[in-house]
Amino acid sequence: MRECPTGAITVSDGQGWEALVGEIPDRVGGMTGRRRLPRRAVLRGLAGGVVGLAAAALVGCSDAEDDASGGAGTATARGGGAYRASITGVFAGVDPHAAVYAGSGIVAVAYNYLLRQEVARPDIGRQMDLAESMELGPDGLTWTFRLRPDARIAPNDQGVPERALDAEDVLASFRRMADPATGATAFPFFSQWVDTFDAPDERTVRLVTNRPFAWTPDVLGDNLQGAIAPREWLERGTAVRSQAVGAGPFRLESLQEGDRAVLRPNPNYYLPGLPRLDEFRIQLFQDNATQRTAFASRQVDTYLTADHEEAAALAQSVDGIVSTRHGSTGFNSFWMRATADPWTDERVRRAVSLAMNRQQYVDLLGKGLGHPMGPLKPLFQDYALAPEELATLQPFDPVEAARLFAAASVSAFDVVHPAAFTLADYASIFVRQMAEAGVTATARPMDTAAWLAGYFGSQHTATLAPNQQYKTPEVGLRWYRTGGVTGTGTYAHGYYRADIDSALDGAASIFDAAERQEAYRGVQRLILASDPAYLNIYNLVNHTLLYDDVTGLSPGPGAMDLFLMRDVRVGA
Amino acid sequence: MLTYAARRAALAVLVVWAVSLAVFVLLRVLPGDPALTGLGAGATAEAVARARAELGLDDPLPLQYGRWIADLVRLDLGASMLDGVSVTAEVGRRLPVTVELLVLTMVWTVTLGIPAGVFAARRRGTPPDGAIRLGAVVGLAIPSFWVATLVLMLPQQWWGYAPPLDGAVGLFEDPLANLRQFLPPSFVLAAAPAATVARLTRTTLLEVLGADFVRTARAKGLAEHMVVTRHALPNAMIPVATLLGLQAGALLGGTIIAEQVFNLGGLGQYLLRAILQQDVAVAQTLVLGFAAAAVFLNLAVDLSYGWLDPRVRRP
Repeated sequence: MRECPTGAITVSDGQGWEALVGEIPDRVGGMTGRRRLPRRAVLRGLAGGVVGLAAAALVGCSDAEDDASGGAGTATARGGGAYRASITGVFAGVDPHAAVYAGSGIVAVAYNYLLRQEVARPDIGRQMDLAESMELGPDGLTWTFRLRPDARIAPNDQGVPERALDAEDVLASFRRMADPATGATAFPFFSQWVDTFDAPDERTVRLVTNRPFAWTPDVLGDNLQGAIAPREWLERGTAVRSQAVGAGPFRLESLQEGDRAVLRPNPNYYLPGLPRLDEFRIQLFQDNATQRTAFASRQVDTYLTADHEEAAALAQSVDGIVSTRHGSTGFNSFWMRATADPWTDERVRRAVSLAMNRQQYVDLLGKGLGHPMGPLKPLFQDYALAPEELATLQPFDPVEAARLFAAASVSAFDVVHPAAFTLADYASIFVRQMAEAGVTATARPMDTAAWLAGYFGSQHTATLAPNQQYKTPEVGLRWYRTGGVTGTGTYAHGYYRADIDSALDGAASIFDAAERQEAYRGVQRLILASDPAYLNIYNLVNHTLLYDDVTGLSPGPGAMDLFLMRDVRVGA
Repeated sequence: MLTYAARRAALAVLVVWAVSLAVFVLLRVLPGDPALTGLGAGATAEAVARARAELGLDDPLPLQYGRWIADLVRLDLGASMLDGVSVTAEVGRRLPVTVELLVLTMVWTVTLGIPAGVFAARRRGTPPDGAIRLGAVVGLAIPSFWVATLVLMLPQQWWGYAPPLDGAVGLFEDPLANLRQFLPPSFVLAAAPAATVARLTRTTLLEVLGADFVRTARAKGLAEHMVVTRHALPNAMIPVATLLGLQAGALLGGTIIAEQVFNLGGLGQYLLRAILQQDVAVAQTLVLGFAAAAVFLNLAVDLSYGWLDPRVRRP
């Protein structure tokens, strides 16, 4: 077990935080007296008033607005300024333990975590947060966290007292994560690995796993899983889905679903002077063209482009922006229900893999930037198989694929996919590649909600599927473990093996990083040799654009909140 | 007139009830699980089951329908299944956006459509008449979502200008910013109805201008502009007024696209999100609200038609 570094956050010169009070305009206008309108007057008015209205409208239209920056304007900039992130999608709630859409970005900065770390961002390292220290006992099972005394809950209008978080808050959060009814993202961890947890005193929390589990800090340090919320707040039932009250670096000032969230620094935050930003705003867009236009006119500060060509075009046409290329968390897969024909036949599963030219997806969809993908995404670096080895373990061989399909007497199959995702091109490439191996694959787009319900209940026979981001190799490889990715049998393809289960559990129990990486590479070799029922296809490279006066932010997968709570600034 | 109004109102209520039933049933028979959609792909089966129970989705359909209608009668619109936010509060926040968009669209429709129609009628057969008729066809033919995207993106690319896109600003909060936000989408939305109005105005005005009473007016020596504005146009406006009412109802659906592209955060955007996310509580209430608004706009048109043209009221 390595020693845990602590207190890696540097406190910069702060300028103090003051609530920004906007001007509230008086409403103007009022009721006029009632007057009876004769019919002829209405008709004449309709006809005769047209010219005047047209003129008025034209004046409004030709308003000499020469503000080239467009936008409604930046909020009053003080200290670190206002940072405006943009996302296409919905918040879908800010439940500290179950938010998975854009709301998770709010959870990450409004609540605390015992610590923070991201496997895919080794550059960030481990950041201790609510826990000042973390120790693993000699049994390899008992994790002890010593809590800091000064993490005080932010001012709020929900009646939650502005007190310091303590061990009871951590236990209340753990209990909620472990409750299957919560739908917590950390539930598989608690159900499969955690034996007990308790609090010897108000500043100490102990968590005991039933087997050695090396990913414990990663799960608890994951912004999607390990949020610690005040216990009084967690007792509010559904209120936690629409508001956030925590002791994190920001407090949620307003949240308008489908529109925007505005966060301001928590004046009680335990690191004085941080975060530097005066305002953090998440602006939602429902249309990609709108989001792009908002970025190009500097109404938001960041934009994730569709591909490098769009990034280059924008960088050329808009002054003062910086493009950052980085790995992406998203990837696409092919899922087969191994309990239904033809997927019960391992030859058919192998044939599909052999018929897939994964590089072609990268070339066509990612304009050449991306990676053919094995069981783990390349972002996991040394945990993932090297591209050369991957190419030999999941080769492209349409001739052999055709032979296997013929041997299994398979000439056609159906494959569904969600219509709302941008999967049409992906599906058409898949269909064409199968045709080259002599099989007619018919792609059937489905309503997204209907598709998700079918996928959740393992009702599809075969599906192309966009995937979520998995923060650790352990979660990504759960697709191949008995119990499936959620550990509760949902999305289960039905093809599991005891030797793979055992190898996965063994790898997760190794604390030495290098040994664990080798163990995970070994598990993946075992998986690929077993003709799995779940095939990852490709993972593309992303390009994030930022204006060059946004400093202290390193775009990349996950952990953006770690930058936001530190030195991110906008403007001079 | 009262009997006529009562009959029309009763019919409107009946239609709204039928719509409520249709919306309720259709949203229930759609494949998918609203509870799962709300919880997200990582939900456990237990969590989904609990959410379904909490949302009453496992109850018999008649019971669910009765509960929904009873809540509506009490003006309790429920809460979003996605984030738990009160639908009443969201509707209150978003309604002014949609109403303003509709009002401005109608202003554009009237200010562009009627003058164009009058102008074309008075210059029948001339190149300007042809140009207006061609423009009307173009306005009807080009899809508004495409025009909306162009109206948004091209000024930004050409001149670096874009309207504020970070959520709707209230009219009384910042009138200038508000108009910069609302004029482009309302103009785009008005293209098709203005074209329709222009064509109808032209046709009806030409018909009226050939009527006997117009010939009489001219014979009395009235100036042509007086003949048109005081005698012909008011009569030509009766079917146009009817059409405008119907257009207002139809435009409710059009707001979805405009609000989406211009990021206005009105009821249309709310409805679209609810449908895509299977947020049944929101979707069924909003669809019913949109339908009821359209029905009562039609009722208002029917009643105003009876008021504007007394012949309609005659048995």
